[in-house]
Amino acid sequence: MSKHLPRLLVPVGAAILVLFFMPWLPPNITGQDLAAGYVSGVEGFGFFYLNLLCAVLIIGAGVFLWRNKYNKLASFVAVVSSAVALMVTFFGMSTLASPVILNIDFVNLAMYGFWGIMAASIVGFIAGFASFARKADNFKFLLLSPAVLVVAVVTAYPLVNTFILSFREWRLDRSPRPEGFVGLENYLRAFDDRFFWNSVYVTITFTVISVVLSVVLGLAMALILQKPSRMNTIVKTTLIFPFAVAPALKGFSWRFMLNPSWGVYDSMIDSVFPFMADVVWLANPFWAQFWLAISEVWGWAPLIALMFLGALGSISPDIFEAAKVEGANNFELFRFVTLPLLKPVIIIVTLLKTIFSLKMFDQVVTMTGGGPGRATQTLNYYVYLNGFRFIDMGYASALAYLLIIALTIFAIFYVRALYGKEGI
Amino acid sequence: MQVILIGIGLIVSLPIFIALFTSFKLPTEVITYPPRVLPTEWTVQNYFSAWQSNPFGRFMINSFIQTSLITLGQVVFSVLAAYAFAILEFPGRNLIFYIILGSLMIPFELTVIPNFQLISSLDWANTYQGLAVPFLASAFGVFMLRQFFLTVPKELHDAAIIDGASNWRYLWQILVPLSKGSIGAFAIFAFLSAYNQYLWPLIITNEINMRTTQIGIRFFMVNLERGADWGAVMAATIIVSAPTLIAFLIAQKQLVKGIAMTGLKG
Repeated sequence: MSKHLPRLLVPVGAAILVLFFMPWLPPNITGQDLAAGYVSGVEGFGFFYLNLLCAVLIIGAGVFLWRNKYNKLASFVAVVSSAVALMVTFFGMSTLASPVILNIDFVNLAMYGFWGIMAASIVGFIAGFASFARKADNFKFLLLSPAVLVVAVVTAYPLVNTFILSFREWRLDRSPRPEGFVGLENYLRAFDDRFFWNSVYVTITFTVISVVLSVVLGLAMALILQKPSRMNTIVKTTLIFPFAVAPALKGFSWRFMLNPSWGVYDSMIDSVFPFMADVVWLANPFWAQFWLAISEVWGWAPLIALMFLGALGSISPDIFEAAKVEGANNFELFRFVTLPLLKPVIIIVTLLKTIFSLKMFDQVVTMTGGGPGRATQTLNYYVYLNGFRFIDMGYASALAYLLIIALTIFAIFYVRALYGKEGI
Repeated sequence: MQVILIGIGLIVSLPIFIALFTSFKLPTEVITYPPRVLPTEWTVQNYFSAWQSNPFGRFMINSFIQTSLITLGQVVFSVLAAYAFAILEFPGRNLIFYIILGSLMIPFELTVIPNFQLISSLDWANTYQGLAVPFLASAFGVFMLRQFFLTVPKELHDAAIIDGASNWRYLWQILVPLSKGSIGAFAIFAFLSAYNQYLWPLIITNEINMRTTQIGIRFFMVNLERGADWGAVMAATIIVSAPTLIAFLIAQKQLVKGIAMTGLKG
């Protein structure tokens, strides 16, 4: 590895620059901001010094590669452009730092320097990385880095960031940037917030109803569709419809069908249970929750049925034959043969569905809008409300973390169930 | 038994057919009581009024660009990473794989605040890159394609390497053609989930010209809620759902296979 280190430095130094600074760089940045370290994202650690460090890193590594005749063009471009950009930045910066009244040209100069380093870093990154990855042992880095990079930026970094934010005060209407640390205040606030507890209650009820119904109905459908026939093939085709349908269509067609005056479901139910004719489904807290769960079951039960069908297909028919020869009736066949064999899949599917139910969001927006009142505000929807309606980012982050913790627990069980003791 | 089967098929597809039939009804007939499933008089008027009330063409183009970028990125990057996890051996491989798999469990909704902050500080709100870049890689794709690559005999790889092929060549000229089916299935998945995305386009776009179909239609609904021209609403949802329904009809076999794999070991 040691001999690869210099080769890695160019792309790594460049990546630090790009990753670390790009996201924090406001579009309308001024020279003063640069000098104040405003864009560094890490308060107290000046942008300038880290920039300097990375540029020196790139230049050093580039010179080393140049001397070792390793992809001359790449190291040349990286070194020269980094050096020029660095000089320009340094010149601009030193002017900014002095008490002299700012000359706007120098501000621009510092900016050009900054973007120059950026451009050089990107060129250096691509060139350095390509030459690095051409070596057979380094090929894996080329393969892995795009996916790992995206996961790191989109999932890992936000996870850490949300965690930190959850301990800070940050109302977007008061300040464009996070404010002071408030310790556990955001979490304590959640425990005192009855709307939070309401959303927890809604989420749990919703999860229990939709998981139980989806899995039971899915299993029932799979058992009915088990035998291959032409009719089964057609029905199986329709099973995937709800999955392919847009969330908008899901929510709105259900809302339409439950409309008290011209909804088809409403009139069907009214004709079977006349005493329910007066119920306005989505205006009643209980029924709104119920129908929200049912619409979710409609989307998931067929999908789960397809998963079970896959599992049933992999069970050898000999087992059923043997049980029949032993004199088992249909119920016993199901209870003592099918069910135990399906148990691992049932567990996996249940956990998967639980994870998806806990983070229910789309249909809450399209079907009920969280209402009536707060009756269908799931936890995920409540996070969204706090973050993007009340723009209270700190509190929303704390709420999000409470949900992440719940999800992680189920996710661990899911991965365990999926891979069991065999390992990956 | 047959009756139950038909019943299942009907219940499952009913909401879609209701939407479809309603979209062909005259405005007066949509709100008649008692409601009827089939229109007495078929009309395409709703499609015209839905299409004219909103720049659906623009929404479609936006969705198309966003969805193609995401699908392409997810397929290419997943193939690359899956190859490393399935074929190559290196220290830390399983650890990195576990981390990728773990990210599958973290819902995007919960990482949305820092992502929003990041993308808007790049000034990428209301842009195609803002819509697409956060989704360019897919843990699910890496997972699914790795499972498939593992089923390809290792001897094939060894033979190719002995014959002088590089890993790069083996991947693109042998393994990828062999796994067309799985890659296709995953591409359909990527397409469906990208097209059906809801929360992210909702918060990252606020200009009408950058809205995707899902979000465009949402505002359409909200505005219509008071007057509730349900025929036009349903016509709009049908327009919006058409690409996914067509994609599903083309590739339903691969989809069923892919779904079965989520619950099973591949």
